[in-house]
Amino acid sequence: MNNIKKVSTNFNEIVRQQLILKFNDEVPYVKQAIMQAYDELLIGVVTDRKSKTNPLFYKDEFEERLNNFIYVKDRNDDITISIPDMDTFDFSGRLRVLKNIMEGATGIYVEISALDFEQIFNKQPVNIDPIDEYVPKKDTIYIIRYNSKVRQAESNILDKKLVRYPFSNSPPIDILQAGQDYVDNNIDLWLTKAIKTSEDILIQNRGGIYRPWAMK
Amino acid sequence: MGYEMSSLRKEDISLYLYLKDIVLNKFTEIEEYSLLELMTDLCGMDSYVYELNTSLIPSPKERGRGWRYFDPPAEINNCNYYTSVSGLNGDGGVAYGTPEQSTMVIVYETSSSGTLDIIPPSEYMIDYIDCRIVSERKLNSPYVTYTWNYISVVDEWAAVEASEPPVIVIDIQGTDKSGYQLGGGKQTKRKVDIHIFASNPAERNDIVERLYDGLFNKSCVMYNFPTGSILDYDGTFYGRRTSITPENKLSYLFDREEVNKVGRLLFDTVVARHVNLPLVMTRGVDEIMLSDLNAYRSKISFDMFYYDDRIIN
Repeated sequence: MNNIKKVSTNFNEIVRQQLILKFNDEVPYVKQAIMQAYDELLIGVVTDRKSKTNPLFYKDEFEERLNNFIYVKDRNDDITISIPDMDTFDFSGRLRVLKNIMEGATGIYVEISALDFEQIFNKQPVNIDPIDEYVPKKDTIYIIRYNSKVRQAESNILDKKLVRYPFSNSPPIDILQAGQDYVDNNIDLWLTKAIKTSEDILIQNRGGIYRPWAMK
Repeated sequence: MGYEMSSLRKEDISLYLYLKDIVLNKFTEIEEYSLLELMTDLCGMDSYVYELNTSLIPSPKERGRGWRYFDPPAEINNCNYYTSVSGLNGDGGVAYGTPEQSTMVIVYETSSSGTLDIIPPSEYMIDYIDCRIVSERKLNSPYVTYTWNYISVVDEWAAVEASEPPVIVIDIQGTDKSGYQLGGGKQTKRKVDIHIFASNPAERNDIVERLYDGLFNKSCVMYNFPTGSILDYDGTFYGRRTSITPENKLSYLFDREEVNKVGRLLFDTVVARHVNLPLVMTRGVDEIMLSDLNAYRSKISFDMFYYDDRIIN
């Protein structure tokens, strides 16, 4: 009876180790799926080269945050693979603009500098956050609604056309879903493989003491 | 061979009707004795078109709202919210379904003594979308008492701006079909997002909770729509305008025929979350002239699936 219990415990441990290995092996592919969606769905959309909200400018930082995300969590009694989503991904700081884009926005907006804003409204944009707060103040850009007042100011005050926010009136673009889809499409296969490999290891070890170096 | 809607279109309209007519049926408002204005541009030899004159905000005439075309649904009876009756569908065929409303829109005419008399519904048609009355005779200072949909329900993102909040957008996205383990047939799964745009947090929370409860552990019927949807292209109840037998024109029904050999539309993995945009939060700033729809948003995501035992030709 003790031997059966021992084999069962060993098997559970082997499966656990195999799942951790498998999940960790797959994480780069999850990231790859998300970055591919980033290129196709976000960068490919922007055609105005003057736009400061072009996702191309935020790609490196996004990838870095993606790399910092903890995908595989081993809590002894269970193993989870988590994929970043709109709630769990870190969109703080410069990446807030990406959250704006990915959540979608109704209405037409334009990108406006702090200087132009002051010229139109005769005050500083105190209640609005800039796209990027880590640049010198003269370079800060805000997204504001393109209403009749702004439209008139383009010709009457600024004498130039403001850059249109390229994701105006755009529905949500959830590129993180690409990672979730990759996992959903493959998870059954990963589980089957992990269990099959675990069975092989157990047979190799004849149900005896678990030897991690025997795992191939 | 006649044209038949695709399954996706039937699912889309069935879900739309379930949400608008049943789940959100408590979000209706009544306005009494509102003036009807004659629209001379739209009048013909024998038709007089009257449009609702109202200062309500949001306006009942905005996209996705309109007047209620059915009487209120009854208490749930074996998952059937509307009790069906026998009659004719809009094309004159035998049908089992729901008649046009009889209490949601009441039209009055000012009599010679100055009192308001109810006009019998057989004397006019109703354009439920644009909130208009079409009569064969000229009406004397007409008024209308009506029930209207407070929440605008639309099916495309681009239409959100056409209405003041609250607005909800139904967006069916991904499709996944898989066969059964044994035999024919298949399971069809759609990914659906509902975007909610409200005018304040309380309203947003009310709508989200109502929609969530209407989807969680719930299902709805997939209709076959043999004569199309409830309303014709001009907003009238389908069959009313083309009726051959005028005396029978009030008996036409919306045909609640269900798609044969297809199960109910089941809702699964319902998730709701609020959406806060970090940068486009310009509401309350005096530079903004219109209400900002992005200020109080929420999103409900769920899977909608059904079992299909039809033979594919």
